[in-house]
Amino acid sequence: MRALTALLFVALVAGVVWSFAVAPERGWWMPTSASSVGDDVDRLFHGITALIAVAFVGVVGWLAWLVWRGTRATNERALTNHGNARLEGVWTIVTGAILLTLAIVQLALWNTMQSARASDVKPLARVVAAQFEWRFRYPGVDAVFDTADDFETPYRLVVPVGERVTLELRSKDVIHGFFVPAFRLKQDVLPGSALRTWFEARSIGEYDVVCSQLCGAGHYRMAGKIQVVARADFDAWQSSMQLAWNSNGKEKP
Amino acid sequence: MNASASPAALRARLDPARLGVWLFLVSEAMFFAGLIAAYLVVREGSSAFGAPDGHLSMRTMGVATALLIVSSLCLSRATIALRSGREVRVVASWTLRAIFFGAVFVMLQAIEWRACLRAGLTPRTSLYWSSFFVLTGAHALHVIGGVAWLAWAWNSARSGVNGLRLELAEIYWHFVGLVWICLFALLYFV
Amino acid sequence: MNERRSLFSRVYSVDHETIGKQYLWTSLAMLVVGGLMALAMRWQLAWPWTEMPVVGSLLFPRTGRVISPDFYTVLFTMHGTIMIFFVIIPLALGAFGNLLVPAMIGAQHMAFPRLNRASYWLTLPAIACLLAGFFVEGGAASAGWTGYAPLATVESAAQGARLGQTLWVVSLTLSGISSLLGAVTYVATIACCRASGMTLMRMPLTIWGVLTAASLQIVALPMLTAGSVLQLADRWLHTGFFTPQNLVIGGVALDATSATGGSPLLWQHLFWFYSHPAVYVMVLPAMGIVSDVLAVHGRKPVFGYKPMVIAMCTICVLGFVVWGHHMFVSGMSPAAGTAFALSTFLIALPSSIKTFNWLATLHGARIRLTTSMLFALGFVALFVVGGLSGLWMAATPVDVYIHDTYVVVAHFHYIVFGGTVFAVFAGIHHWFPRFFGRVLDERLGRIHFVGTFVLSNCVFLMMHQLGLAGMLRRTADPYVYEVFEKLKPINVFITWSAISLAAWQLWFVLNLVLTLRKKRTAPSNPWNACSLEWNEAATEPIVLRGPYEYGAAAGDEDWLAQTRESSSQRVSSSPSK
Ligand code: HEA
Ligand code: HEA
Ligand code: CUA
Ligand SMILES: [Cu+2]
Repeated sequence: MRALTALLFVALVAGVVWSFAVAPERGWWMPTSASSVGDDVDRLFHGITALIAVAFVGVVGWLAWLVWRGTRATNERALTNHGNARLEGVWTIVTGAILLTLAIVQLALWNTMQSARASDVKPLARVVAAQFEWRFRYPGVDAVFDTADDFETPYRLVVPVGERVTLELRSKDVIHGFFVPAFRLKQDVLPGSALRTWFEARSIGEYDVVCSQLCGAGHYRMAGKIQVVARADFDAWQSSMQLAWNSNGKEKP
Repeated sequence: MNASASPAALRARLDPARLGVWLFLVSEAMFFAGLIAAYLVVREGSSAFGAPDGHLSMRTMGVATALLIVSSLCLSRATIALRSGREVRVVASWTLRAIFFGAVFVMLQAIEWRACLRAGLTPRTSLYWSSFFVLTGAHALHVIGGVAWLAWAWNSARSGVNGLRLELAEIYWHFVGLVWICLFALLYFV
Repeated sequence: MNERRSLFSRVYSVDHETIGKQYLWTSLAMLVVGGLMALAMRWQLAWPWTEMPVVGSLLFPRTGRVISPDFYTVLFTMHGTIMIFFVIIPLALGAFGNLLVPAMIGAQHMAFPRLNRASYWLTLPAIACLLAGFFVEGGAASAGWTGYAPLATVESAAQGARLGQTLWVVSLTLSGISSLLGAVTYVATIACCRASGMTLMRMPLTIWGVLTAASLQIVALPMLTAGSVLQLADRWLHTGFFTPQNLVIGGVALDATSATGGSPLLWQHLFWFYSHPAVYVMVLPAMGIVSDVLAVHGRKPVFGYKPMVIAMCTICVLGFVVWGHHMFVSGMSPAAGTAFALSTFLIALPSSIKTFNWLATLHGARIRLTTSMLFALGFVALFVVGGLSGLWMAATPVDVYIHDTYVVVAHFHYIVFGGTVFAVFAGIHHWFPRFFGRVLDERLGRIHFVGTFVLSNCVFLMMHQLGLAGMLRRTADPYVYEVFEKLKPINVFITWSAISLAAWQLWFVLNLVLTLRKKRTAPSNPWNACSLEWNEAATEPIVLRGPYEYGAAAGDEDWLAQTRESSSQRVSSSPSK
């Protein structure tokens, strides 16, 4: 039993390390980041992961050794040791320092990610969530919403590459979650308020939009797409959409 | 804390029943704190909060408030009489007065509600009225509970047994009065 | 007639030991219920929309033997609610609180035996209420165990948002009142009914765990109750506390049917103000139990008793200022996010201190690998896994990505299953002789431990990778996104592991059954433990020292009972000074 128990803990360490080691190349890992903040988020993530990896291997490895040691056949007794104030002080201060550093290090990035909340830049588009679909409303040339030249697209959000894109998030019914894994972007969409978020797409391509907040039976299939295109293509697309929208006489809001 | 304290000594220092009531009050306080916090959030946070627009009768509930305070005072008199070992008749009669004024408070609260409902104001009229009915309702239930508790304590005080019940009921009763004063200030002076 | 009354009074009893056992059996039964629901979820996640063998035809005849999207939402809602409110909390506080508090502090009975009885008997209507949801039209609640508004509060938002949700709220309120009665009883008993000489700093850490957890309940629960009252008002009286303006849900314009203008975030704050402290309610008693088991079966005093106590109290206090870490992406103000991130990192400190103290306790210990010791060691390892993943989430930018993915699911299952449930198994094996007069079979126990340890890791470890790959919780079919197709093997593996894990629990069931059929032959103190519950010679015991006098300096054997007279001067080294 003695060997088996120690082995179990070693196996736990091995299993954890293995599962994280092989994950990236097997694609059991974050999609490659495609936004400006994405890399920073990943860097922070990897930093913390390294730290907790050390803590984990250290603690559970030590545990395995202690079990091995503490179960060896001997008739000498454990010593009656009720503690050691200095030791307590040391690990309290060290761990506290580590935690405090982490806490401070991560603040700057958080503020960057949230910087659209207060800003008054005109949103490129308005995300309108409803059970269980995404719609994206563009303000048109006048860049003002709810005017004659607005147009709407279901399912697909088209944005220009390499620019800071601000979005306004609205929900018609319950809470939804606007989640773009590749952009490391997630923001709940609250009914009754118009939250803002932003991203800057790094590369042209198509990315998943996922509803991350439970919104009912159809939550699992509330999918969308973000299509990142060059500026020129974006302008072209916008004007074509506008024409189409107005010509087939969609009702004005 | 000295090692040789006997259970008896511990109990003398700290009576479980009294401690229990105080713990219960902490809980009750947090409960009303929650309701009041919610009320303040929607009041400050919402454009569609609405307002009493003069449908409240300051007179009715002003009197009710006064009566609840008087009721608390009567109860203090009762427990003072109890502690100074006056005969149970005195204790019982002061308690009875406290109960009476408490009951009148509930009646006045009911009258206030009836007036509002008559004026077509319901919990769904606006957030203000939502809050008004829920908060006063929750409190009224506590007052009714308090009256029941007092009646029980009165009964046992009258027959001379267990004055402790009365002292415990008193703690709760003062608390209920205190909560009302907060609610009155918050709901009637918006 | 007289016979029946005596039977009745034995069942509807004010005796804390009886109540503790009632709590124990009820919660273990609910663990099976909640566990089987988990298996149903796992089936769906591995093989979505496929007919469930055997049970499918009686469970879902209407949907052609497959789980419907609606029913999947019901499943995880009920699984979460049952496991937290009717398994873990009643086990940690109800069962062990009743069995151990009076016994360990040398009280003859609880301070309020009748309240204590009411506390147990209220849980039954609460459970009935919750399960009744399955039989009402629309089905049981389906808004998650977090019951977010307006999905939960607006009837047209979801099937389960009808009568089922009302029953859910009522059930939670009942169990809340029940927990409150229990908590008040434990705190008052610990404060007022300790045996002479049982100073606060001589109490076993299990009692500190119960004390801190019960205090959390007393202060935090009422917030949830307040929230529930408001949710009921929104549902019944059509008040608008959680309902913003001009919503149209399921074709119903809410401005017409109820007051509006409220705030969905309000519910989340009220809910998490309770439910974060609740997670520490689930772990504090477990931490106490583990500390005791490590000391007794390691034959060594708990290292740093005082720091352990201080850490528990710190967790208890800080537990009130971190609830916002569940709401980083909810739309609350970024400044609040910052504050909650800081407090969350800080609250990891006391848990770290406890972990280090456990290791130091084992350092140079003379470990007996009994089943309860094995589960206690397992707790330490798995709690660390779950705790460390908490640090990812405390970092707001990382949590933005991780939130609502399976990383969170992995995090709390490691702590709650690998942690609390392991501690419960450790506690059951450790105290079974004391309360059932029989020692559980060690061989079966070890088999149960090894399988449970291995399989629970098989179930929960790879959930980290699922989450990192972006797989979301609460999704009935992840594979609608073709990027998640590659996760299918993992999900299938997890499902097989979960089924095996559940089946493996039958070893424990078997052990219970076989042992309970034996005669009451257990020695009065099989582990040579110092604490009072094993050494109540007198009805009014006199406590002379702390609960952890083990090892070389502890008298002629390697232990000194708390009540035992002794010439040894080393007693002064006990933490009671
Ligand atoms: C018993 C239950 C329990 C416990 C003890 C904890 C403990 C912790 N939890 Fe967890 N948590 C839950 C149960 C629990 N949690 C549940 C149920 C949810 C999900 C609810 C839902 O959404 O459904 C959740 C969700 C949750 C979130 C929200 C995630 C999200 O939804 O986006 C966060 C975010 O900060 C968090 C953080 C933490 C932290 C920092 C700790 C810390 O207390 C952990 C401290 C422990 C350690 C750090 C490990 C031991 C220490 C060492 C090994 C020393 C070395 C350490 C260092 C070097 C620092 N938890
Ligand atoms: C608090 C305690 C607790 C416990 C112990 C568990 C135990 C388990 N949980 Fe649970 N879980 C939660 C609390 C808990 N869970 C919560 C709060 C949520 C969030 C809900 C929400 O999102 O709202 C959740 C969500 C959750 C999900 C995510 C669902 C989703 O978001 O879509 C999953 C998925 O795999 C899961 C799986 C499991 C499994 C496999 C177990 C296994 O450990 C269970 C193993 C089974 C047993 C221990 C029972 C033993 C059975 C027997 C003895 C009977 C004999 C067996 C047979 C006949 C086969 N849980
Ligand atoms: Cu929309 Cu989930
Ligand atoms: Cu939390």
